[in-house]
Amino acid sequence: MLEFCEWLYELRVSQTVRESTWVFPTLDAIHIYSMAIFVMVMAAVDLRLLGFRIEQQPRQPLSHFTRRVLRWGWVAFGVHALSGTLLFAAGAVDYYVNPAFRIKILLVLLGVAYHWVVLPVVAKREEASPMPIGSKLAGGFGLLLWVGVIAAARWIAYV
Amino acid sequence: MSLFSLCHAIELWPFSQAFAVDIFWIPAVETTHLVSLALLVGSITTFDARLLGLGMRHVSVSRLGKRLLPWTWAAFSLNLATGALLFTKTAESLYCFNSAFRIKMLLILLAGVNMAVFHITVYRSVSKWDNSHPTPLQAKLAGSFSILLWLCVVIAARWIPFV
Repeated sequence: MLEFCEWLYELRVSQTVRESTWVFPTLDAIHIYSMAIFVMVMAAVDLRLLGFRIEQQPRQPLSHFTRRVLRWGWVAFGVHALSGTLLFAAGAVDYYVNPAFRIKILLVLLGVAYHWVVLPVVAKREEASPMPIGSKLAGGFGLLLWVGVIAAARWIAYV
Repeated sequence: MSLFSLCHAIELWPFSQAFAVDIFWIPAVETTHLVSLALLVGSITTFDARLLGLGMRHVSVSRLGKRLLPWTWAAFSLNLATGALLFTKTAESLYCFNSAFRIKMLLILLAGVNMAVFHITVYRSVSKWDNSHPTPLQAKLAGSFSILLWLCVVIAARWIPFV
């Protein structure tokens, strides 16, 4: 894996990201903006599981809402992952050995799997008021995962 | 007191000096700054998307605004507080004369002006177009400006260390 990171680091495109004065901050801005949209979409589902809703009687069943909203989330996630990959390539070896970065990737994978696989199942249950404790826990855990991802990302520079 | 001496004093303040070397609290405050950013930009963009007819069309504009705004203001306050804290540690050495930072502040101000203009003009007659889709042109313009301005705020912010 380390050899792969070294190979990635040496690529022409990684060098460009590293050395250009404008490519790095541009990718960084795309990465942060898509994160904001992506996290907000995921949080919208998590918050609804926690019992927060825009309408008293939501017109769309929770499962329908989840499916529709997550579609936007995956678009933002695609942009986020692509910019993240390029930023990673620019400093591949340093990131690879960084424990905070490893935790971040682990949490991202966990978060994606969770929101993709677990939440649609939870959302299939009809919406009740107040939400059952199981749904609330599921939503709270989802929110916590994304806060964890952001925290791990910020800690990369300090470990 | 000049801007420079003010920034100088802020950076030399014992609190800022202690914060500047605290490798636990810096990333913790940065995390809060980013989480609140996601909530701030996310809630605003959701409302803008409704104004543009891109989503949430079944919810009335005023109801969506009323439900989202408390979140937006809470997120903005948290974002401002953590941002001010992060400003202190390099007030003079990084931010004082940084053009990207100045543009960022200006863009946030413009986003606020855009929101205020929207509220005192077309939003006054919201009862006439609350459930309608498409929304009036002026509402669409306000939504587009808002999305664009917040995107530019993020871009300017990421440019701060590079100018």
